[in-house]
Amino acid sequence: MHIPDGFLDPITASITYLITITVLAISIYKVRGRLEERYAPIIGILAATIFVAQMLDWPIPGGTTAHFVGSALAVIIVGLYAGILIMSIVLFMQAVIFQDGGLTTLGANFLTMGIVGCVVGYLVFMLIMKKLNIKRKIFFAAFFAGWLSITLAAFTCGLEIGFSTQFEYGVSVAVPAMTIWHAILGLLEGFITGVVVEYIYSLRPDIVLSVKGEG
Amino acid sequence: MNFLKEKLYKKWTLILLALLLIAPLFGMLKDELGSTEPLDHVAENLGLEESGPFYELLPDYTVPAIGNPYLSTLVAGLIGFAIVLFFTYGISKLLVVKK
Repeated sequence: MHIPDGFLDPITASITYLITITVLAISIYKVRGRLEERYAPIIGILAATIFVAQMLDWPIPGGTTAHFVGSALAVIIVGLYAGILIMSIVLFMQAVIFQDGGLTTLGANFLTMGIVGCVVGYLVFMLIMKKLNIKRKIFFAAFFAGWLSITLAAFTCGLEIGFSTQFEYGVSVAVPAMTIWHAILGLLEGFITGVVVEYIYSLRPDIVLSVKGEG
Repeated sequence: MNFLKEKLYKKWTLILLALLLIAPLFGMLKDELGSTEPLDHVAENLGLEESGPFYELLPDYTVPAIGNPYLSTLVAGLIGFAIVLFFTYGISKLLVVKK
C-alpha cells in the first residue's frame, strides 16, 4: 500500500502532506511526557517489529502479495498517539532509506497507514472492549481492529490514487479494487494482530495500554 | 540499551532476527512468481506511472554493493531493523516518557 512517486497529482500530494503534518504535530503534543520510562523500549521494539513484518511480503494465489501493516497492533499496545508516532517513523525510514513509498507521496502513505490505520484500529478495539462481553474478547477486538484498519486504509489509498488520475472514473475503479482486495487480505492482518496482542497480554498484561484504557 | 537484557525484549528481538533471516526468501519467491501488490494492479489499470526515486540508498531492501540477493536483503534488513529500533527508542526517551 506504499504509493511510489509519480502516482499522485501535486494537489492530492500537498493536501495529504498538510493533513499528516497537522496530525503528527497534535500526536507529538498529546503524547509528550505521557508514558512511563519503561515504555521507551516497547515503543522502539514495536517499531522494529512493524518494520520487519512489512518486509515479509507474502505471495498470495492470483498473482498478488500481502504484508502485515501493524497500525492496529501499535495503537493497541501503546495507545493512539504513540502508535501514530511509531507508524510515522517506520514509514519515514522506509521512504528515505529503502525507497519503499515515495518522498512526494509520504504524506499520502502516512495518511493511509499512519492516521486512518491507527485511528480506525484504536476506535474499533476500544469499542469492542467496552461494548461486548464475549469469550476471548481481546483476540476478537484486536482481530476486528486489524481487519478494519487495513480495509479502511486501503479505501483511503483508493481515494488518493483515484482522485489523482486523469482517468474519468478513477475513484470508481480504484476505491472498490483497493477496498475489496484488502478486506480479504486484511483477514490475515486481523488474525496476526489478534494472536500477537492476546499472547503479549497473557505474558505482560501491564504493558498493553489500550486494554487498561490508558492509551 | 539495558532493556535488551530483559527476558521479554531478548526473546522478542530474537524472533525478529529469525524473521529477518527468512525475509529475503519472501522477496525472492515474490520475484519468481511475478506477484505484485493490489496497488500495482490498480495503478496499471488506471495508467499511473511511477517516477523516481530521486536517489537510491538501499533501494527495495537491498545493498547495491552486495551481489548475492539473499545477503543483500538480509544486510539491508538488519540495517533497517537497527536504525528503526534505536531511532524510535531514542525519540521515545526524548519525547514520550515522563521526565
